[in-house]
Amino acid sequence: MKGRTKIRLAVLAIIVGLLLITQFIVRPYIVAGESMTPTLRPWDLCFMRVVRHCQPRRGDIIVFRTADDPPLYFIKRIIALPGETISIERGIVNINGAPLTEPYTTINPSWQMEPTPVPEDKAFVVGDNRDFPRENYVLGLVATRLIKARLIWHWRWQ
Amino acid sequence: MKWLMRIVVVGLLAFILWQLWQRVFVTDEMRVKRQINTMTQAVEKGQILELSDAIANDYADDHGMDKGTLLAMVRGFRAQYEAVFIYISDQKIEAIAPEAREARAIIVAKVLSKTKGGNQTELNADRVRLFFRKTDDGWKLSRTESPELKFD
Repeated sequence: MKGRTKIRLAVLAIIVGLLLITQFIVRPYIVAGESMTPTLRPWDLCFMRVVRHCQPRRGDIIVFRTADDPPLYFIKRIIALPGETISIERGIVNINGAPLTEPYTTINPSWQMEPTPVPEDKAFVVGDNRDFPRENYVLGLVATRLIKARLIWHWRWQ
Repeated sequence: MKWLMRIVVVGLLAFILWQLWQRVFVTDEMRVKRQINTMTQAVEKGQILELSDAIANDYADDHGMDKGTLLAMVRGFRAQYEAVFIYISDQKIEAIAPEAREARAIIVAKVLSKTKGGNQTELNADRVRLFFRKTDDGWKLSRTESPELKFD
């Protein structure tokens, strides 16, 4: 085999390998919007582990899609698991009546939410940025089958 | 002079063939797609007149805007930013009924905008449903909806 052919095959193998990795193992995402500030800021590069059947874990930062076609993708944090009951009182999240420690965010006392049971096939997600009114952004119950990836590492450009 | 005649004839033939191609092979979905691209470029370049051409006079949306307020909003948005880049990452276009002269497009638009006098760049994504109506002037945007997102 000639040298040039070898190089072409190597490049092709690298491209195919990268495509397979991003399809099935680790996928890069760029953060848009402020909803995960301060943990993730706009333009942060996130490497997310692709998940097929998500077993939600509290505190995990995940990417989920909407059930629409074409979908939108969001990045949020799981704070309540299937079978639990979540409520928010003056900004403090309670899980099954016990307050949740959240070192990654600040408390916004204007946030209120009645006790809400999390169904078995769903998880409760919210962004880390609680500086604006609760009604103004996406949070709440998300079907676990819509969870597509879990954060493993992120990198800030500046 | 002969060569000039030849160029004119070839040009004319090409024009006629192009028109035939457009009529026979370009589907309504492709025309709507092209119209979306035209509108995207008009917003990026701040060409309000071109954008106005692509919007029906009786335009309405679920934010209560008509054509005038929509164009004013786009002008205001464009004035706020030094540069805007719109990337349509997904689009699904379908004719509601071939004879109904209406088409629906669902798009996911990613908007990259650079603020004036600063080097801050914002990135936003939104999912929008657009309705187009076929007129003698081509396809015009007649309605816009922001459908509620589904999470289950």
